[in-house]
Amino acid sequence: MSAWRRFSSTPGARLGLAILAVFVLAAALADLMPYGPEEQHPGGVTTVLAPPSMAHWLGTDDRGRDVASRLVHGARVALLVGPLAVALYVAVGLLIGAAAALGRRADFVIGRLIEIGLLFPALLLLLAIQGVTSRTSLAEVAFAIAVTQWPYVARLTRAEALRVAAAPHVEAARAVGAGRLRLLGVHILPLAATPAITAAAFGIGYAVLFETALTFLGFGVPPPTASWGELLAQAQASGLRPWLLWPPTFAIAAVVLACNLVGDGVRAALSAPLQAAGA
Amino acid sequence: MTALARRLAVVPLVLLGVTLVTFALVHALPGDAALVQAGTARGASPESLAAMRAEYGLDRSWPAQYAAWLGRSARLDFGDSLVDGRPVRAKIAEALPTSLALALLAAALAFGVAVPLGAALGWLDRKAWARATSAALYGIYALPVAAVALLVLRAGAPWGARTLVGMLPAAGALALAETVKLARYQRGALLDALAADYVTTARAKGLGPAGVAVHALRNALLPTVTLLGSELPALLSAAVVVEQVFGLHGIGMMAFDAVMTRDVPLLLGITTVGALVTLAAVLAADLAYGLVDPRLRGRAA
Repeated sequence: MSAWRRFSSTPGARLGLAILAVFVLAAALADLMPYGPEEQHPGGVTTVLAPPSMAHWLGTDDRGRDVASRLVHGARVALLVGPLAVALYVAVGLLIGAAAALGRRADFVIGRLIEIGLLFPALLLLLAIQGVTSRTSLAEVAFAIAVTQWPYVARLTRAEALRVAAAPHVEAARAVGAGRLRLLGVHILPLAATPAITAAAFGIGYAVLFETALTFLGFGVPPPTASWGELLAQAQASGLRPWLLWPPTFAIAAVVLACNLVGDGVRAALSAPLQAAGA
Repeated sequence: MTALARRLAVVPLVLLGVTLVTFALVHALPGDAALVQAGTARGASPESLAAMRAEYGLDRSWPAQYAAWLGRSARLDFGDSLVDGRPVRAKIAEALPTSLALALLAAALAFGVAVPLGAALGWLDRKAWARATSAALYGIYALPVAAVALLVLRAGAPWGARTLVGMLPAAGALALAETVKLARYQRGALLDALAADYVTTARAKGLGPAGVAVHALRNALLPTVTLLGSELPALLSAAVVVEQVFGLHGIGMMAFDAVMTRDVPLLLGITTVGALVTLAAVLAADLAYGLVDPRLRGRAA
């Protein structure tokens, strides 16, 4: 059975892809929304905290900005920060985790490094990093998330790399004279990457949740840029109006759920052939 | 207990690493406590800023500051807060009970709900409604903690009380995602256990459904117990958001303020205590693991 068949036979995996496709499309076409995301009182009429209407499908916020426009533009932030953060920390986690297969001493150092990283309450570290970079941008938020998440990928990769390093094909390669770096790069890393790739699929959802929490606390993408965490903060500041609270909640949950469903599919697609081979 | 001894030996190393990272990070922050405080009274002269920095020891290099901090904190003296001059130890001691109560209440809620719920969903997996519930849980898991906290608040939960009961809504909001995660884990673990050979053997020997359930559940508790210990850092992170929404003055909010005011001694004290609490939780989970699974007693976890 092909990897795609295994992926799509997982319940919800295709639904997850479809949901993500809708959000990607919405983010790409965000400029087609009738109002700009930072436009106050569009049309010249004062419309502060107006409930949903024909003119403003999801109402307006406390500065008279169109919530629907801000929601759709917020998808851009989520869909840029999530994948960017994941690409960063999966690459770092893969390299550090796989390096544990270089030898006992390397493994000891990397093992402790991972332990330290895992112990750090992520949000505390994120707060500190966000403080460092005074002028926050999308890339810096992604970087901050990556710094707290690499240990999880490194831990998974380390365990897998140590397992693969003991496999017969590695021993054979060593016997014919392959150097340590060649062993690592050619014979260990490609096989040890499976858990990291699965983690990456789930990771985009986590990254979106992190970005939301950070921005909600005022440390993420700075206002007036529309992002879902900022929309939640607006909802809190404006007396928890339902039309301010529900749209970002629903959007975040939909994207995170979609990522988790796709993650389940990726896991199924990657794990089955190994089991079939009797691993 | 050689495994425990080996784990304890790593504790100082980990604490050293965590504080070193924090120190380097805070030092890289633009501006310092002197500037932040002078900012409230604009027009501070360079001389008074320099005097302030000398008083706090901010004029020395950061490795020198770190070494000094390390020497003092070994005697559990984390110095004084740069903002209000009160001892960091006293400030943490004030905020810690709130955070611990919140985290423990959330953990108890998550564990108390997730284990029976997950076990029931695993046991009744053939029923359509149990499958539907499992799927619905996946949706709840995707909710951001800030939105959950705001929704609880909007539902008109009585909050702000300094009692355990008053903290229940906040703890519930904090526990929701964790509950779903644990329940899904518990369900999977029970399904695995029910498919295991020893359960088949027990069934073949005539053990009734109730006996099988107890038999499988005991072993299915294992992964859930360890997960709870390793989830504490995530719980502490989410607590910052929950404390902010519910206006609780716990460690999370204190850390938030410490970052905003560049209060280095306070931030270092908080990360050190936070790492200690987390280490203790992970060790406790390891010990609990040994209690549930006799095979693991005395072995490296």
